[in-house]
Amino acid sequence: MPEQKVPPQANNVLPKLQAIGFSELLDTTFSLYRTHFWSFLRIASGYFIVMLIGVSILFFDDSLGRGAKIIVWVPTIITIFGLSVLVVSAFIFAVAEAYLGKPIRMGTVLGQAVRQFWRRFVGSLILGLVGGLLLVCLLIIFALLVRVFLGPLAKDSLWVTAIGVSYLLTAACITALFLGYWCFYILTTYMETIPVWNELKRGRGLVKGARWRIIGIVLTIFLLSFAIGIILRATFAFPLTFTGLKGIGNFSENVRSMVLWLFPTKRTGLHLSHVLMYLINLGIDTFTMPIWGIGCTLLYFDQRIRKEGFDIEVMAARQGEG
Amino acid sequence: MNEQLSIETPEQIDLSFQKAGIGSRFYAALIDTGLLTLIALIGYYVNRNFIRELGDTLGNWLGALGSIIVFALFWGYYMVFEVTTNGQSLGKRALGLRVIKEGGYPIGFADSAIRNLVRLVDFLPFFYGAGLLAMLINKDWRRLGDLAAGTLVVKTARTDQKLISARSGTVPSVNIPQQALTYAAWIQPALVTETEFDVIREYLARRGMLHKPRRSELARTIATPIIEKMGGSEIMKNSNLVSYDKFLEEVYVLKTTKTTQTP
Repeated sequence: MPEQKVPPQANNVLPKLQAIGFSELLDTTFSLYRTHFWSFLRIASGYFIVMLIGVSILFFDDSLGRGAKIIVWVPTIITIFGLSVLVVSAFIFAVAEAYLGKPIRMGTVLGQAVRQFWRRFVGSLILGLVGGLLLVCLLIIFALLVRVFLGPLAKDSLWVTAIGVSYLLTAACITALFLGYWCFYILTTYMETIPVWNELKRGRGLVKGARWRIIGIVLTIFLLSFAIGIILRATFAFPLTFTGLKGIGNFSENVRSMVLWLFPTKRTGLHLSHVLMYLINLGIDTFTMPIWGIGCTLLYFDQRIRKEGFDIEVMAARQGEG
Repeated sequence: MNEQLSIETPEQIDLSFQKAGIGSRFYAALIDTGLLTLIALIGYYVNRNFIRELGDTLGNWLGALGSIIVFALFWGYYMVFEVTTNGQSLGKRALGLRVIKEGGYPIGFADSAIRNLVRLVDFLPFFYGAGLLAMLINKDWRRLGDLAAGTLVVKTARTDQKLISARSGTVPSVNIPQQALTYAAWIQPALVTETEFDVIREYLARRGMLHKPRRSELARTIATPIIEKMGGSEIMKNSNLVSYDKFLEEVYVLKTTKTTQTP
């Protein structure tokens, strides 16, 4: 009889869940990513498709009239938002399966993502609105600062710089606090089944007492995936410089275009090089997106282990299953 | 989930290490590079007048000289630290990492020299781009310098006490006098499996860290199947946190006593 491959769950050796430290969390993120690379990439490519839809519409936007634009844009944005919710849900469930030592099955993960879709859709919309409101408030304050204070002081560059820097620091602190309070909001909304209106409280309660540690780790994971994205962009921009394609600049110009997503619309003209750079950019984002997602999901579980004894609950559940 | 690396030395001693992944190594590199950049900037600022004078004499050669000095600084820093402090640069020490030879031995001068010379290639085209790709492909997360020198980066022993206590607290000595045992009459320690006992011990060790509602929920989750198995569901019908918590305590005490009494 030929030797059969034993699936990981079949030998009943499930990973021991436990609280993990900062460096372990970073390493486990990559370890988990590499072990389930193709599964995570398949789900993240959903984001790839969503982005392609968005860009295609943006590209043809110039040829539409105002009325047509509204007709096209409103359903498109809602569809893209809905698809993003689906992709993120599927992704979070896949990380949870991998973390609990189960194999990632696309059917199961997508099934979980589709279930309670509207609950997650509304939950994400609430966060989007709260976050958007915060952003609008910060922009209004900035505009007022420029108009009321910075205008008369325009000749004194030191004052302008001081006020600008102070504002940026304050805005950064407010954003960090917002992130610290509700960074688990999406995870609690997607993973738990309590009513949507309780999610803000639940998300905030989970980080209570460990806010600065969590803000630090969330920012660290974000910086890590962002830095890896930039490193990969620079790595791919280097050989592109020598292709001689129309629209390709020097190395630093290419890196700048790729990092800032400076791609042409129909008005400015489109070359093969732009399509190439755009696809590379999307590929890199598809590759780095799981790092951010896995890291935050692991942090969520880690916090639940520390604060709620989640590992004990899982141990008890496993014993019940056994 | 953490990746273990087992090495058998020629003396047939089994050594076990935990491999350091991209995340921790990236931040260690960030600390080291930040530190070196700071040293280079301070060095430039302190000697700026001398450098200006040298620039007048050397002309375009100053750039070449500057590059050599920066290279020597970066290369020398890693070399000195790795050889003298048991494979740890300052960044690696901060993240609890260490460079060792493939066979588990400490890193030597030649190994460190090769490892850090190839760092130049790893660094291309921008902040360890080539090294990053190599690490993603290699199963032991080794960059090109590690492959060339036959080295790898592992984690050192943990010293984070807060984390250790969050992982597994010590079970406080649960000492209940015989007359205070409420459920002893129907608790059957023999029915409690080893796995169930592990869960109870873990719960008792960490219950102090949990909030009251969560503690109650968890105690109920753990206790319910055991109670059902022992036929005590009716007795526990109107139970609260204290009852489940106390039940688990008593199971622990009786099971431990039974275990210690067993010859």
